[in-house]
Amino acid sequence: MEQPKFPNSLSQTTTTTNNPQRKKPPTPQELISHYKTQGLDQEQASIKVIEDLQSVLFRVIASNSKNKKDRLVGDTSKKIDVINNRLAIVDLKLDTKPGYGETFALGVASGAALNGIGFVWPHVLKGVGQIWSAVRTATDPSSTEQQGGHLQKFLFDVINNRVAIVDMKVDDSKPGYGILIMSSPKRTHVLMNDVMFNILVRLPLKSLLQCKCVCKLWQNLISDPVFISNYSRQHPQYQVSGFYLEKYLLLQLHSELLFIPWEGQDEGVPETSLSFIGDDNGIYIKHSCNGLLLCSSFRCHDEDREYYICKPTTKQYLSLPKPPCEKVLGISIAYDPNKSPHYQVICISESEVSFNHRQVKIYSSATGSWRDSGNPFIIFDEMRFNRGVYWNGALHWVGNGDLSLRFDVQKEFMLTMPMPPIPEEHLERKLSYFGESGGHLYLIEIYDPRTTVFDVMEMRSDYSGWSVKYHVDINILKSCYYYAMVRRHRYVFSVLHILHRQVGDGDESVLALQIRGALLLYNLGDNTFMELPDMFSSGNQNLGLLYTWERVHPYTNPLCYI
Amino acid sequence: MSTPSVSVNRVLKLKSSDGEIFEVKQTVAVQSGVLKQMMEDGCTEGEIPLNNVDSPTLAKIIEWCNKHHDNDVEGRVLSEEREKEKEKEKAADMKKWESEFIDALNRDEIYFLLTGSNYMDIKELLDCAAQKVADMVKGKTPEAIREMFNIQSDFTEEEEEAIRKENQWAFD
Repeated sequence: MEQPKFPNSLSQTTTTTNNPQRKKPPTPQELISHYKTQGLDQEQASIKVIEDLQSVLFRVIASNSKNKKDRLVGDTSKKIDVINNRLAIVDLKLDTKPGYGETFALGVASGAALNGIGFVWPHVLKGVGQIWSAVRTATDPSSTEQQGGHLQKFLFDVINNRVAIVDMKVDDSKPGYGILIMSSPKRTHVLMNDVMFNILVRLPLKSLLQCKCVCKLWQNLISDPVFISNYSRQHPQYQVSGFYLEKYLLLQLHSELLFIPWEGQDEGVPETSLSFIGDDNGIYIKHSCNGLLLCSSFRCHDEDREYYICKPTTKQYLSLPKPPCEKVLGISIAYDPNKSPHYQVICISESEVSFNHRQVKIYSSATGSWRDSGNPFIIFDEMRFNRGVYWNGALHWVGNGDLSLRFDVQKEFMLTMPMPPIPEEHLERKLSYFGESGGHLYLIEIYDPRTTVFDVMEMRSDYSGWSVKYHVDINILKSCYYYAMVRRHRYVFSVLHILHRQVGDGDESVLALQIRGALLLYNLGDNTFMELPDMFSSGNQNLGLLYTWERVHPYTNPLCYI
Repeated sequence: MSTPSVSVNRVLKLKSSDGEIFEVKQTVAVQSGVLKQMMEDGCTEGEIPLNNVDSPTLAKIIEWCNKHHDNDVEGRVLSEEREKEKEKEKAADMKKWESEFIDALNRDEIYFLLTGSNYMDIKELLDCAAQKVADMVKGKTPEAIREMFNIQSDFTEEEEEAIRKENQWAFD
């Protein structure tokens, strides 16, 4: 849109004054009647007035900056926000085709912005560009359709002293930008988003979740990733890291779960029963990634299998559409809340092309649907596709043979991953542990059961290969747990998980080990260990969990997933 | 208070939205981020119009700032004397004063204080008022919150049911 031309009356007023505080421009009402006398109808007049007010705003800023020496003020954003919010109202008005009463309110909004300039003018200079673009998009007929979705009933309600909830986006780079109008019986109040943030961030999690139900604006504010990360920082009691132990028991509908917390607070410990999902065939965990669990129906055939994404801390879940394939070989979540609020589910399925072909299918929470990624690829090795590990933006699978794979989720490339060679006398890989912890991808292979010595290897970040991070000898455990650990000269233990925590400036890595009937934490730094007390007491004892668990699912909840 | 232009005796003239003038010591006014910035920029000559703040609210805000300023000054002296006990007492007294201050306000006044302190960028006051509103919201059902703020739900029944189901845990 061209810069609007100034009508004579307005131009006379503004060109003679450099100080808007002393001499006021015409009021919106005056302007509207001015245009109406010139034969414009209500709507055209309203738009004209808006243009004029914006012009004045622009001129005030321009003339002020000429008269005084340039000052760049540090904290400009707030004032620009104020102006922008006002403009959002203007924006909105243009879209909803104003009637008289609404135009009046609009004028007030614009006029207030204008008056405010006297006070904030040095801060506003940077905002001018935004202001103009806001006006431009608002008045450009081609953009109204796109904006219409965001703009709802507004000023009419304000005038009638009712409440309006507006979700406006002046600029897509600032998500959730808007204004909340709250009114008490007597008055109407406008609260900026940042004030609402400030209030909501103080609520306990339960209250906050209830607040999502209040109205769409509240829901949007609470779902905003910036809000979530702020909230999580201020409520560390909801954070936890640890791991699930999962056991499949005969005649039990659901898999049996035990959660071992490592860091964090009690309040953050997730549910150990996933029965709240309410699947008639029971539930078990397929994959865990950064606080989200991918679960599926337990006791049923593949064709009846349902998949769920679940947040066990808040018992939130949703049902995924079924993967469009006959046989799912492996299914994993890729989710990094620090990068995106969206997650992907990566499914490796059989392909119709041949028995040895595989197809990658991706479900994205952004689109809510499945699609094929790339073409079917041929694979002869037996891969553990059901044990995917998410690290560094990619999913990783180890094969029983030489081949191991990684799938870059963003670029959608399947690549091989180098692995340590399998010793000659062995036919297949003997994996003791393969997982991610504290930003590292770890691998433990133990080929000889007659030794207490093994290496913890770490993948180099450029995937050039594995390097030995810790050379471990757990011989020290033998004296304490001889009968539990040693069977016919073989050592029976399993590595459940590697746990990490910051201690001072450094990292502390701890091996979670299971030997018969006991769960041990073995510190890799100083080779000390401790037994977790009462892990298999009472309720857990009768599970017959002497040696193994079917699955271990690391679970970290660095953010509260609201 | 490192700024040379801020002196103990100088006052700022603040003009509320309804035209009333309030005089505030510069040393008190620095609690407002916006006023502090203006002082540093040296543009506090004459009346400073605060178009978003009416006179009752501005009076409350200034009352708050004066109280906190006094406390600050005394607090510094005490800390030099290492009377930590008394300092703690002071802090508790201030907390008490703050809660009495905020509890005495009605809902309208709190909202005005919220917007006013946000506009003038007075973090402590904003936090205090926000905490008050949060306390009002805490533990209330969505219906009660809507009633309290006179908000009308813009969800369809299905949408609301879906959110409730998704957040069942919170409603148990």
